Amino acid sequence: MTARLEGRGLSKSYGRRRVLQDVNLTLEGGVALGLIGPNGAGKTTLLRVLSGFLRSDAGKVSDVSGILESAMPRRRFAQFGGAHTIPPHVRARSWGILVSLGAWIPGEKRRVRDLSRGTRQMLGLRSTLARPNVDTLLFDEPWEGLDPDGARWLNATLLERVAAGAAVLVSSHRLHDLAAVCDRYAFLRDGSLRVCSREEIGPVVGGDELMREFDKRKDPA
Amino acid sequence: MRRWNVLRFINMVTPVRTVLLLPMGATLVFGAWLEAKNPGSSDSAVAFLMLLQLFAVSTGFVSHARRGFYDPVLERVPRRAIAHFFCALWPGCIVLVGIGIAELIAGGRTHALGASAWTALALISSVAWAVSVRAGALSGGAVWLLASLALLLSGRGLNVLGVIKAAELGQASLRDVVETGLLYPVTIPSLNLSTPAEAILLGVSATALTAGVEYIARADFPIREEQG
Repeated sequence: MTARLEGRGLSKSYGRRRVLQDVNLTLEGGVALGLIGPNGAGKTTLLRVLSGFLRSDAGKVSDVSGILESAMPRRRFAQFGGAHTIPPHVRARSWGILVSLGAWIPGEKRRVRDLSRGTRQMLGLRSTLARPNVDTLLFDEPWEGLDPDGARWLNATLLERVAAGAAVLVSSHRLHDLAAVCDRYAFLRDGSLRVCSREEIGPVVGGDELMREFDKRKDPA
Repeated sequence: MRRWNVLRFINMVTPVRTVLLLPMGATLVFGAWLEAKNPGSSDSAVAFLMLLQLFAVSTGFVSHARRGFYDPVLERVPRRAIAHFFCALWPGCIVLVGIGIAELIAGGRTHALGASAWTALALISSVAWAVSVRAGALSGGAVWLLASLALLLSGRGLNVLGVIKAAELGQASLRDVVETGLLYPVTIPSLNLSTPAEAILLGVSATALTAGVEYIARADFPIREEQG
């Protein structure tokens, strides 16, 4: 498998609060990795450090071309940070035209703040997925606010991208959806990360099995 | 996202407020009307434009960056910062050029196209923008205007009218002109700046712009919820 994006020894603190501590993570082509952790564990921080939107205090992020500068956007890369990252005052259509460069333009003329939560989420996801020449995809809570049809569409789209060789990292609390899409799971707790394959968790991996794994890591005793 | 689209995108995410764009448009009409009525008399329109520009250019950066609004701009951070500055600057430039064209048509003194007016626009725009990068929208204009008013009301400021009159006659000292320009930037277009005074004020402007861009390039903007 090709390592599309690799983080080595990543650490990040906000003031005295240490969010990431010596985190190592490899994203491989054709693999979907699910990122699981309690609220405030540092999932968004990890995604933003890998995306180049945030500097790590220590460690390096690299791709096939070599070590990437901090706070520099990556090539062949798309990141979805949640519907709240779309400015509420812009019109959905204008946003679609600019962000997706014509690949997917919504007919919706209302402002983003006037759209339903699910439509906002869909707008953000469509914009991210419409970016051309992308082989690495990072998603933060992509199923948030989606109805069952939307969730099914997203699962199918992610599986298609993985089958086509993309590296996908998805952070979510929706463990059943993660289990439907991901091949491997990364548990983030107290700044440390542990990656498990499906086989390590059990013969069948569903939301319940992931929840059990999550609980084990919550209370190791 | 292509370069041109970066400007369009930032202009969409952090536009100059409509509440400021409308009076800026009205200032252009007012300046043209003054010129048509009495050529060479648009000084007050230029001064009012400078006052509006103080606030128009203070679009703010950090609060939007900390919500992830600029994430789709896949450009190096300094370029993103410069694009952000230009998006805040353009309405003032257009109005100043418009008043200048009205002056040329009227055939009077070309006040708006003069070096003093453009030095004023550069200084006001870069300093107010740089202050607002971290402090938030409208803050650059508010801070500068309040400081000017406080000095004026306290009586500790310079004799502004005296300096303007002396500058018109070419008798004001370099120090007085520069201090007046920095403390009361709206008066700069009326100060008949000498080349050294222009150079000093443009130096201040370049320093402020560099400081704003450097801040954006070096600072981290974690998403609010994540930082906790």
